Amino acid sequence: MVKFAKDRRYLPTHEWVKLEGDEAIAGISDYAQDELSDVVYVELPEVGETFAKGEMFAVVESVKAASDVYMPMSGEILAVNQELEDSPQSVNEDPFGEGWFVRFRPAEPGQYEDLLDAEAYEKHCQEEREEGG
Amino acid sequence: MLFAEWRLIFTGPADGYVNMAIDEATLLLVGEQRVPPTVRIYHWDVPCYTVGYLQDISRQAPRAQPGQVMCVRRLTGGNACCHGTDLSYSLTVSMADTLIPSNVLASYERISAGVVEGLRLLGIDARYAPPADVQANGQIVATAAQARRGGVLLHQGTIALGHQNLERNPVLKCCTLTPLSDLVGGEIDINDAAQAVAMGFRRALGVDLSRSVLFAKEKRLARQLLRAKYMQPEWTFGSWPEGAPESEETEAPLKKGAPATTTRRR
Repeated sequence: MVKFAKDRRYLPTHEWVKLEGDEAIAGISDYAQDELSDVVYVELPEVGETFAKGEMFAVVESVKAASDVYMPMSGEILAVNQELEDSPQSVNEDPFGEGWFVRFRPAEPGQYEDLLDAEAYEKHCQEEREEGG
Repeated sequence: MLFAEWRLIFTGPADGYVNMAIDEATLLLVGEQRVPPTVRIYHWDVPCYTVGYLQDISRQAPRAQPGQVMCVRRLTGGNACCHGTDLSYSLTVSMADTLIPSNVLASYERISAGVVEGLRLLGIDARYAPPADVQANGQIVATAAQARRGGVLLHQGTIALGHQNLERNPVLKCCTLTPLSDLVGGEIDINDAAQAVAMGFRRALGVDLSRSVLFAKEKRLARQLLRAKYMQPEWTFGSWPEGAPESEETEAPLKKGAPATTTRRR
């Protein structure tokens, strides 16, 4: 059963972001990991890099598919999840927790309000799955 | 706008740099909806390795250096593949196209059905072997890899026709395919195989593949990518430097929201 955590927001391209004070953490959704199947490698950015909303900041490789991961909000990378280097399966096992990708400082906190909430994102995923067979 | 028709292109033999540059050009233009979803069938005029997008070959392949056997990095994931006598194909389609499932394994199964059907037309009893292979007589005869980038799926696959005239690099993690010639007891003509695979995709995908050619804008972009990226040793062997161009069209990103540059950290 795919989960849609309600304490964060989403991009239609299946990235999530959760605000924690004036910082934020981001990763890919449970739906995304389910679609990708077994994740074998995650290429993460470096601390200090800045990305615009919608810009590619990571690549996740699952069973023979390399997929771009896009920044849900503009910001500067404060930390990356080094544990994914040795345990990329965390993305499958706990995409909203241990499988986080980056912690960043949002440059435009107001962008959060433009993202999909859990309900809208779940509807988006249902439509995508129905359309994609 | 989504194109109603798919395009089928036979581009014949080319080297690894050219083949990879064409596939990326098509991917970028499919993403901009400037060319239709495309099945391209091609082969190789010189032996080469292609290595996976995230494959770290700095430790695996100290012998795979420029000036020796050609080696080029793909956009798609997975391990290295040896090319030379194989028949390859790419399928490039918007992920908004409902013909191909968004789920990775389901998409592999759907696309691999075209290869299976094509091999059956050649008299070979083939079947899909998850996640990415096609088997015949219990042997893996074809494999594939994918990239999902800027809302576009690029699926690259290859079918072993004969034995490769390429010395296997003992330290390069490389896919191993059994050539079809071993199974049928003789050579398979590459043009016959290309036609069969094309027919296989027509049947398995249920689409009318319109025979076409590379568009002029596609050739131009492929030439740019060839020079600026695929012929550069840094793309395949080293760290693709931060800010280095993915193509020469960096001033005008090819898709809104998708960066014109990427950073490789290897």
